[in-house]
Amino acid sequence: MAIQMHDIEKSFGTRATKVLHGITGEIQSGEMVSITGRSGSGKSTLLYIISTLDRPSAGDVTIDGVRFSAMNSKQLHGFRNTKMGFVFQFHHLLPELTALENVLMPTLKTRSSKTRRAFALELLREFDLSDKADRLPAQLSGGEQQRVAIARALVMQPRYVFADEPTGNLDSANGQLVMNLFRRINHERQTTIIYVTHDQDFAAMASRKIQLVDGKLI
Amino acid sequence: MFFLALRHLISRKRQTTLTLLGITLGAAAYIAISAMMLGFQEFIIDQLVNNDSHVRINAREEMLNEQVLNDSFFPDGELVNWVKPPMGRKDNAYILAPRAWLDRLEADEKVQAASPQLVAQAIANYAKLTVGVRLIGSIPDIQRRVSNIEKYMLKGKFSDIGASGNRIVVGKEFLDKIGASIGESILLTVGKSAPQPFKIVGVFRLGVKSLDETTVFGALSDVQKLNQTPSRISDIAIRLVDVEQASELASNLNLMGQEKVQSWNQANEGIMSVFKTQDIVRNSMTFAILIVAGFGIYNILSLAVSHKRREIAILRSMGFEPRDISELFLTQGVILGVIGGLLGVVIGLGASYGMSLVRVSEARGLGTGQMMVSFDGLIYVKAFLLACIASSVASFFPARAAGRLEPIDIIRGENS
Ligand SMILES: Nc1ncnc2c1ncn2[C@@H]1O[C@H](COP(=O)(O)OP(=O)(O)OP(=O)(O)O)[C@@H](O)[C@H]1O
Ligand SMILES: [Mg+2]
Repeated sequence: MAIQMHDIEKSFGTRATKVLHGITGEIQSGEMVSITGRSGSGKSTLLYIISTLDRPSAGDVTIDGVRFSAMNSKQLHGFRNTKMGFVFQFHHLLPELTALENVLMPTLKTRSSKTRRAFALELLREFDLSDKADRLPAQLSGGEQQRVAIARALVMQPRYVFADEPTGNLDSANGQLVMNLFRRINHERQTTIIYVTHDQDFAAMASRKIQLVDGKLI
Repeated sequence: MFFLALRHLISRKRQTTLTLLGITLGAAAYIAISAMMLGFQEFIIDQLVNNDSHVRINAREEMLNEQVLNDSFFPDGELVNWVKPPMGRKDNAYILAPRAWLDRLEADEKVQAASPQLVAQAIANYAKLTVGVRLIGSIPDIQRRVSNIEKYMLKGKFSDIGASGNRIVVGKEFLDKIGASIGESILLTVGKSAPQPFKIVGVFRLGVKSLDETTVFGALSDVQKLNQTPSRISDIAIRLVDVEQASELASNLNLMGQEKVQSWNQANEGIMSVFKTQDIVRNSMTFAILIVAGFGIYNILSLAVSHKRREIAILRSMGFEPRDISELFLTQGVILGVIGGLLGVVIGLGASYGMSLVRVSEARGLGTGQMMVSFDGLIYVKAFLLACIASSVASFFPARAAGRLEPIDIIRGENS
């Protein structure tokens, strides 16, 4: 079980500006991988390509043995729902729903909200949010919102969690909290964590570091 | 998605309320206007259909002119110059073979009853007053089955006319106008013979002033005697089992004899075309209301879609498919349509009920003094469906646009 990258390239626009240059590599299940690099080096682009949100211009991504480019829409969305969790810099909670409802949102897709409710509450308790389960996002702090977003990413017990600058919008204390959560999930549940960060300390918490310079791995 | 759609609507209380108000008012207005127009139409049609006859066979009175004679004498289209152009009336004031007609109608299972009539213009005389009337001679027991006249009797029974004996039943307005009262006799003449006394044994009121003022019913044999045309009839009034078949039957019968056969709607083409115009006005008004409400929904949902781009992206990253996203917004439109439609139906029903209580003057010479309002269920079904269809169509486009959004474009735009 792994994510394999074969010679990935990505260009934007008609007068092709190449952002990624032939990236090849493998992320094993259970790893905690940080992606670092200067602004504009292509970190986000790479993360979105290996998480199926974006398509490479050339090359191929294989997830658990299935070529991403060979998946149909149904498989792709099923994959995202059951095997992947996403955390973004901005939390992207649904403002109309309470914390608990937000966490349970992915379970609606497979109609498993009832069976996963207990697990969702357990996640909130783990993340120190038990007493805030019924609050709307607007009634939560930024750090709390981000923790709800992480709980949401985990509720389907995915094999992979992708995070693009999950601490980018938080103060250092809250950032630390979030990173500790990631490490705990990685340790306790063997969830593969792949995250982009600018912070050297946070990058160092990974079991493996991927560094990008001008769209190339070093 | 239904659950989330509902939450979206609730979170935009003001917009939702306003949109709902638009749809509700649209549906209610449609119901109120339709109830009024159709109420009037139903009343008139009921008068036309049930108080006269479904189909009427008439002795044909044909006007003669150049065209008619040219066609029969010079069928090849020669140029004909008349020294003195022909004019006049080819008169057949009576039905030529009444027995044949009646036998044929009796055998027809679509026909419920056929009443032979002799209709004559007569002059009524009471004390010093003289009033022109339309004297209809019929066999009361058959006539009763053709029209609803008995329902409208104020005093006496229609069958009191009897088979003969110079007894008549008259309209209320006529009675007031001439100043006679029930039980008294008036003089009737058709101009050919000496006036004969007829005893008033009953009064009816159809609610149409022009009819109530001039219609007098008598026994067929009495009218034939007065008219000095024994055993002649001028009309056959027919009631069908199913009124919808009137036009078809009339067209078929028309081919069978010289007489003119007209169904109630053919005979009242003028009124029917007024109704058609009314319907066009009503429908275009409805259309306008729906367009306005539809645009409201379209705007609000388009706005919602662009406001919710981030959330759409995150939903897609959770594995929700384009179809799910479209459904989210389409559902909102449908919810608005269904609730707005239902509220509209309730308010429309209330408005219709309110209108039905309004007393209107009888100056138009029509009706019962109450506003005529239709409570036809079809109006409500239509209003509800229109609300639902309009809001579904209006939300279809924003919903489709939402489904086509690519999550990566949104995330890249917002995050990096
Ligand atoms: N849609 C696009 N069209 C054109 N160029 C793009 C597009 N998206 C990204 N780029 C370019 O690709 C390069 C890499 O972008 P990417 O977002 O991957 O950088 P990043 O390493 O995540 O940077 P940051 O640390 O600032 O988030 C940048 O130079 C950016 O301008
Ligand atoms: Mg980035």
